[in-house]
Amino acid sequence: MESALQSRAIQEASALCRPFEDPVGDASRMFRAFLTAMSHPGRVVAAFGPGDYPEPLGTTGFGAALTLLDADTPVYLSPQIGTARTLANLRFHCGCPIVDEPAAASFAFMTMAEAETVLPKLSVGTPDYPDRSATALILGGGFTNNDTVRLTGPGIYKYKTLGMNAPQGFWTHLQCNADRYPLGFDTVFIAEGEIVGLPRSTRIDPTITAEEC
Amino acid sequence: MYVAVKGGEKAIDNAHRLLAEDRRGNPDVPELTIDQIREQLKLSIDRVMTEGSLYDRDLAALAIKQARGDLIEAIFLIRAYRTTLPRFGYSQPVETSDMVLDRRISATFKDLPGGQVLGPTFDYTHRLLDFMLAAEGKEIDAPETVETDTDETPRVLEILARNGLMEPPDGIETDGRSEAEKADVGDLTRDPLSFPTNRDLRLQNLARGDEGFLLAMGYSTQRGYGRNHPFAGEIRFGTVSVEFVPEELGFPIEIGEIEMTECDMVNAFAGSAEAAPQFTRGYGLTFGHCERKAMSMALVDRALRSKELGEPADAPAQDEEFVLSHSDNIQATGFVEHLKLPHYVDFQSELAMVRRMRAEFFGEDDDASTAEAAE
Amino acid sequence: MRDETITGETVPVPESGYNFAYLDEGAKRMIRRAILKAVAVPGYQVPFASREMPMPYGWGTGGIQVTASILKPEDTLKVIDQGSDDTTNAVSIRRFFAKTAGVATTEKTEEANIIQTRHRIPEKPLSEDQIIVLQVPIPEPLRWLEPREVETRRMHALSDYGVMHVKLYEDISRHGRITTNYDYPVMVNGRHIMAPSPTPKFDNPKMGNMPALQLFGAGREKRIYAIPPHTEVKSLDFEDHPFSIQAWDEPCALCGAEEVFMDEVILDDQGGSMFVCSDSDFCQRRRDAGHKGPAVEGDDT
Repeated sequence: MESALQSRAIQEASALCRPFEDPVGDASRMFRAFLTAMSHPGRVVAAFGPGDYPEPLGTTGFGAALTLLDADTPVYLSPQIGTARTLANLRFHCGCPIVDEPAAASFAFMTMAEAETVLPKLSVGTPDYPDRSATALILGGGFTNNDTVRLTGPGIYKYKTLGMNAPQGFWTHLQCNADRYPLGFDTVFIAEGEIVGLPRSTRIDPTITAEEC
Repeated sequence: MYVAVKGGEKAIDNAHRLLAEDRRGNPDVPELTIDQIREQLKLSIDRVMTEGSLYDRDLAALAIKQARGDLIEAIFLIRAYRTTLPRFGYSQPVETSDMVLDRRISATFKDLPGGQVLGPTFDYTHRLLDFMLAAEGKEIDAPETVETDTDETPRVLEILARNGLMEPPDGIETDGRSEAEKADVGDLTRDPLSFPTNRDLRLQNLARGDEGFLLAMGYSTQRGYGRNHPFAGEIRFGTVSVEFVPEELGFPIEIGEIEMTECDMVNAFAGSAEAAPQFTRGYGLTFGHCERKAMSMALVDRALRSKELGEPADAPAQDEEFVLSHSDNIQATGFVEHLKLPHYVDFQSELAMVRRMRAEFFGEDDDASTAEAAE
Repeated sequence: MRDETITGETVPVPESGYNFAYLDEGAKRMIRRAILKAVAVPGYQVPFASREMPMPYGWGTGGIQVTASILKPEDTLKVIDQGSDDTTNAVSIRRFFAKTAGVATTEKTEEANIIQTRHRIPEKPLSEDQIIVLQVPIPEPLRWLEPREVETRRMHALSDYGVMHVKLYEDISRHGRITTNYDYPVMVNGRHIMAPSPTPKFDNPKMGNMPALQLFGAGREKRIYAIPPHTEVKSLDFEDHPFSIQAWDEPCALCGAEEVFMDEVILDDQGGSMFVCSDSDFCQRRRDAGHKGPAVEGDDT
């Protein structure tokens, strides 16, 4: 008969997903997807993750975690993302500390619906060290063909349009963020097999009117 | 006819072969063994381990052999190897009060509990070349061995601290940091140094720093550039045990013993509005037996505390950014020696401009082969 | 296992005992995060925990760490030093990556998707599919004016760049011109003054609105910075003293190219010299295509 401890161990093990097949090569490929996304804001860039993944993260979100996170990166998980399975996998595979406060995180996972409450709390760095800021990883936002925002700035030739299903008021937060430049957080939208980067340097011109910051 | 500079690859290969040949020297002379270097060039080993930040006598000996006795090159080899090693964690702080002593001297008290132990030192040798050493197989008079009792050899500065004459080991409480902040020791091999910094990172930087650089900086404080009235409170050399807490056990276990040299400098301090008059300290610690380094480090550590202690800080040794940015001999040697790399492009840019300026100076037409074009 | 690369160098399987591209995965992750920050704040120097590399500081360890962190197994790498693929340090760095990463290497600019360089940007325009990694000795453009990091960091935070303009203006009043010829300071994205590394100012205009991502690595000084593609990069100047670049009166002696950066080659001890392209790949390709400069005209060998 199994002891309580044994059954708990088995339970936890079954919660663990398998990481990248080729941990070194896949991490390098996934990082390049991130680098391309951040270098070309608004561009939909192909990305990937392991076949087995904790649900709320999705395959690409899990791939992002395996690529970017470790013991040096405090991570915030929004309520919808921070399931026991997500926690078990991030702790085991990345060894990253999980923090309760978005302000203490260097990476924050959230759904699009939760972004409005999380984004305003993220660290934006200090004038001396604008790099000491967070990266928001927003999961599940589907990219659409309806242009909702017009993007300009570094990495963008002339301008770029981006369509996305976002709650009303969402873009206001990102515009306020861009206004603080060089302070600010950086954002990556993660959908299945695709990511879009939106660094703080990108100026966002709404095709939908935004509220005052 | 001009032939473009080609054949860099062949040149490199041949340079490596020449280097190997030179390293070996005359093949009729027996080759040095790692054992010989480890046992007979101990002080070289100790310096390479200290500045290389890796305690491994055999690897240090190999590095010295490979570097043909160039210690900075050997330190470089060790550092480059060290960065590739996996890290299991940080050891517990070593307890130097429990050191099994080979040497212990104090310049501040004639006698003290446990006594002074002169140990192996050049101090009172007459620096006369010993031609007998040139002849191999010289018999050595066996030295007397003395057992020291560590219970009876407290550190001198602890004796002073007990009656309040000496500041506590981690400094007078004037730097505004809490106990928890002081306990959080940084690691400059994991995080880039940012200024202003704290004493933990300064000491780490100095421990890895170049002996010659620290010697000169320490010396400068003695000559008046940031004088801090030092006394060698205690210098001890011996063996300490290293303890580590494995995650799965949760309590410390002894993982080995290492030799270390420790220097406590006693320095005067007049006191301030908040702090009563008391002595202050400068601290030096090295792997192995690196006494000159430990003493120099203690002098520079104390000099770098001038701001914290409310002293004027205008001498080079008191300038944190200056000292810490230039103490590392691997960084320094790399950048100095990089001047050997081709700089054709930069030089050509300067050459073209100087030609033009000379032409203008001598009132000639702009006949230099380059001109400036508007973008 | 690949035996031959396009450059004809023999590439053994990656050196056993070391990770792909030498750095351990933890170091790569740390550097990768710094690179992403650098891209997000163009021209701002991100501090990073630079590792000790098996090459000396000052010899490209910053560029090497950046390259090691961005390389993926499918990449093709080109390494140049002073414009040339064949100078000893370029050979040494290229071999290092061939040995530790087993990636393909090339001398042809357009075949490479990663180009590590010291002091030059290739003459052939780069594309969006390429990344250029520049080795940087002193990343702080204000360092010659203010040696203290605490002060220069503050100046960047406040956009307090008065000292730089004063320095350039003093040049003009003393010499009638700005006397900086390489490592000529630039303003990136209208916000951060940046050191372009010791490239000749001839290359500065290439940095502005370049389609390729530009990454800068300073190992000894522990800084990484970046210019994303299509980013405004302006060389500092004054209205009455506009920025200008070097130009040569004669074409390349070997390939006849004009409007490229030239090396001067001393021919004798009587002051005889000739000028040839600094970009060796560019020059060779032109000669292969039949272009001839004055030194080889009528020469059929």
